Amino acid sequence: MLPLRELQRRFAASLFGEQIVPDAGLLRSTGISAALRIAIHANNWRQGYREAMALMYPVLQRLVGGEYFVGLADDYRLLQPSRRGDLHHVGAGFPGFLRHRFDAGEYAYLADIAALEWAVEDARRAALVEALTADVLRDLAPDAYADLRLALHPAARLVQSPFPIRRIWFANQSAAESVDTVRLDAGGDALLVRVLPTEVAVAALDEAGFRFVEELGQGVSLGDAAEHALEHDASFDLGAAVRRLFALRALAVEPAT
Amino acid sequence: MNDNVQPDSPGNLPPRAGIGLRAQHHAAVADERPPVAWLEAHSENYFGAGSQSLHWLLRAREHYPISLHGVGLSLGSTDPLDQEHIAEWRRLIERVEPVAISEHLCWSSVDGRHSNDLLPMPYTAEALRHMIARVSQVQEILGRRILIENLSSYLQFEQEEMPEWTFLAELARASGCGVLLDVNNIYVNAHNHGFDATEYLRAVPRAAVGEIHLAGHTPRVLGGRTVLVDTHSAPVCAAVWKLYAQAIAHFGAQPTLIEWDADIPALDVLVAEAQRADQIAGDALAAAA
Repeated sequence: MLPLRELQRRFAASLFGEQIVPDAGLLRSTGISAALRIAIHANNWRQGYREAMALMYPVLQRLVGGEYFVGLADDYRLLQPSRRGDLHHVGAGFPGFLRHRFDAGEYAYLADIAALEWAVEDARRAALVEALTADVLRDLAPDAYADLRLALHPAARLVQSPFPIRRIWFANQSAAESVDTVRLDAGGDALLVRVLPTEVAVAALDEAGFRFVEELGQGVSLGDAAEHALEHDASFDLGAAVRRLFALRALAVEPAT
Repeated sequence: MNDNVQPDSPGNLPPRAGIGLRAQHHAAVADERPPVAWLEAHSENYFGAGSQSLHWLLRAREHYPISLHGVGLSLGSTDPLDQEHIAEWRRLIERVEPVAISEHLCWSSVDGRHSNDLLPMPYTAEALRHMIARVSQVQEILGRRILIENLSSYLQFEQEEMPEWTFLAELARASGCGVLLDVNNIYVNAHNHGFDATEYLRAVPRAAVGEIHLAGHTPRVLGGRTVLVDTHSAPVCAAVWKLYAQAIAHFGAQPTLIEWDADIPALDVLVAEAQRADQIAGDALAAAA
């Protein structure tokens, strides 16, 4: 009799194999062959992976079409088989996979769309903490603002692309057929993504504003981040930038370390 | 309105019908509070430090007793228990304080490779010892009893030494776990493997049963024969309702979940299916009295 571990290994070899060729004697095959029986689980395995990917990358699925998306998910599964009981984890490497796959060709923007979708998916699982409100400034003497260190809210993410990914993403949010045409050469996007319980906000920032938020997220003080943003763009408006971050609920108290 | 919340009596779900909490109904459940006795959530859908989904589950738990049902622990695997997965589950349990928690009589992975599917155990003495040890280990880590659910199965291993119901009954006896009896799965397996579903029901110790699952399945033709596949994508069929009535007459009133995971219908369809379960259970108890 096969020890349990050996039995599981032999079953898995057949399940995950390119062709299902079960060991003779592994399964009872009355009426229906062992290969057909294992094929039910092989189908569940493939289908479960595809469905999980489609849930994490719905815009990408819409852009490339369902059939092509299945092909992408199947190719990706071979490179990135699931190693956890929670399929969320397989999603992380997909933007990189697409970047490699489409390189600098006409579909290069797909990897950036995927990066935006992963930012949303990843932020969906972030800690439920209160966002910082403007009251934090009211409680401080103005001369202390410059030294203030703020943190990005755990459910906020920054995404940047040379393609207009925000317009593409929005055009593909509703179930209805979109009539919008987005020109790929319409300019890039610097985005702040914030996942809230009832909505996903995808806000466009300008170059200096993006750099400013990025530095705040890295622990740079408000004063230094503002100075760097101004060096980049003399028209950077610190007050407007900070008000916008509060409005987007994009900040949190820096986590104690 | 829901009047079944009994915050002072943790440990048991109300012995009536509940429904699965699914993302597309998160807001509707919180706002409309459908008249069902309790809710079941798939644990893995609420993993993560916090999450958008968790916000809704925490809102739902203000009004309903919650059951957390795991689908990804790979309990029966011979790999070491995934400590990260169990830590995530534990953290979720601490936040949600569910009335019941459950997992499956299955394995999903070996050598670190996951199928993310529920694979049947071989019903051997060695597998039983392994499963008893694993369930005991998980109960120890979580500090509470878990319910273990029987699977739908499309295959049997050549070397099996006992029927599934003996394996399940012995697991419950030796580990102290409860049984989440999936009546649809018993029906499906009785068809697929040619046994008597009533014999299965009689073999399960009454005191161990803590919850019942009902779902729809789909017949598929394979190699010229019909196999019933557990798809959770359809209403409960007449034959499964009949077996459910038999189960209730035998085990008494039980918390009963209508599972629907694919082609998920509108909330009121789920609620109507739960009400039907309550009706059928009520009739079965009246007839048995």
